[in-house]
Amino acid sequence: MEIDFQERARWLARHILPFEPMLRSRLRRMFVHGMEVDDIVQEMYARIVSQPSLETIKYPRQYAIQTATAIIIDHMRRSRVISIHTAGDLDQLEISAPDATPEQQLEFRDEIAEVARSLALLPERTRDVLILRRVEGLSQQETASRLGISIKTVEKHMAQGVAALMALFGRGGKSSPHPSTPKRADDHEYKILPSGD
Amino acid sequence: MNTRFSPPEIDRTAAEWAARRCSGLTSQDQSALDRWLKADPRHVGAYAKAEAVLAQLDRVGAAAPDALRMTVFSPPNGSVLRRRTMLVGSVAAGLAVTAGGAVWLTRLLGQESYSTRVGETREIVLSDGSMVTLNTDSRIVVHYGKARREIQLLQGEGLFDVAKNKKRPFVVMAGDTQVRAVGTSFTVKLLPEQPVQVLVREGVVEIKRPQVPQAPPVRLVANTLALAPPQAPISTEAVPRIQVTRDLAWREGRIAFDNETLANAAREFGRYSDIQVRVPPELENQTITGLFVSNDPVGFARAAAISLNLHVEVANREVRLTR
Repeated sequence: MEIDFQERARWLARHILPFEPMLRSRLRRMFVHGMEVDDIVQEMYARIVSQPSLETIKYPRQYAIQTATAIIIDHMRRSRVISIHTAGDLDQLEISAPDATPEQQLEFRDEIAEVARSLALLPERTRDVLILRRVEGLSQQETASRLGISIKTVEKHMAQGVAALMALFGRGGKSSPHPSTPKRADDHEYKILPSGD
Repeated sequence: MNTRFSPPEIDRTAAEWAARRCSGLTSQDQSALDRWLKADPRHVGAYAKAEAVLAQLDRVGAAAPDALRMTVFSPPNGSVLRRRTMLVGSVAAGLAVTAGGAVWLTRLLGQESYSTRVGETREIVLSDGSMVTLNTDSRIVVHYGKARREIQLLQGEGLFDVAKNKKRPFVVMAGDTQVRAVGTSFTVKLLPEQPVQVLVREGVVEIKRPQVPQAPPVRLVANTLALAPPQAPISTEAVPRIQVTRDLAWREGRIAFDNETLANAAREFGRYSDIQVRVPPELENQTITGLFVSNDPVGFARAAAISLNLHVEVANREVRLTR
């Protein structure tokens, strides 16, 4: 199937990208043998973007969680590994995710703040390129002459900027202390039990 | 050997493709991109996310262009101060310097320095696109020259995700130990009274100790841990991938132990909080396995007490485990 990435990216940006930090923080609570959170997230994007139609997905966040769960289960089946700390955990992953709430307006303000915060963390030149290209709508050539750099350098900064934002958005990368989250005692345990011989 | 690319490497390639797509793809480029996407479903996911990042910039940029333009002039509290113009009498600069107490900039020396408080982690994007993630109570000085990218780790621990540049090696200096990389991902740890530790997550790094004649340079491949004890050769050991992941749990505000002694676990917790976990000598060698919240030593002590059948006493600034 040919995927129209740009068209689908708009849907992902609206529904999945802002939810990724929360999804990651849930996935992090479990150690899946042979699978990093990064692997799960990449595969989740792959599965969602390959859906025949995104418009039919009514609750994108629930859908993201279900997709991640399916990926973990598939992996466990394939590698014949029973993993993670408690069996109850996969269910815990599924505990309701806030979808389409009245606070959406407020949420969008958070998204603006998050994008601004991440941009501010980028190297100066890279940030200039992203803003001139995407916010001011300058062409590659115009951006190059405005900044007095080559077109190739513009593209290089673009790639660096996108890579850095991919990391920063995903993390919700706050440079603040981690919130202290008291847990039930069994939340502190994880077990890795290879199955079979 | 498993030569598949790691998620961060795939993300970087996806970002390059997205940037090229913005410049306009020739039909040749397009088929190269299609081939890359077909090679691995994770490539599809990473590329979808790269395009989503651009779409998010457009979306937020269309709704609130000024909020994004502002980032050029006023980095938020505690963010990186790199714009020189800001230092020339700008009010925003003054505010950011005082507000972002954790970050300061010794501009005259052409150096930037970054630090974290106890219990804090932070990510720093350097001018070449390399990323540093600092663990608790850590400090680095960045010195980027034309021929070399140099980082001095003064204390603590950092994860270095290095942007590839063969002409400009990336060197982390920790005590008497130099860790050199071209494009890779590794951590360096410098803690009091412990040998310098280097853990390689991707790629190859080279460790040198010019002032220690009995320690010849060593090359490390991915999933290798090296220890550089004072006045002794560098020792290396292969570690399973899952342990590498576990050792990086601090990025997510967690600590993972696999059969770790209580003494070591308590010492590890001491890095992340002002509250110390005390373990009596007769319990020091009991072992514990689990994933814990790094700034919650009390939670750790309670979990340890449950699994080892011990008691917990919480006192002023310390938690004691007793029988």
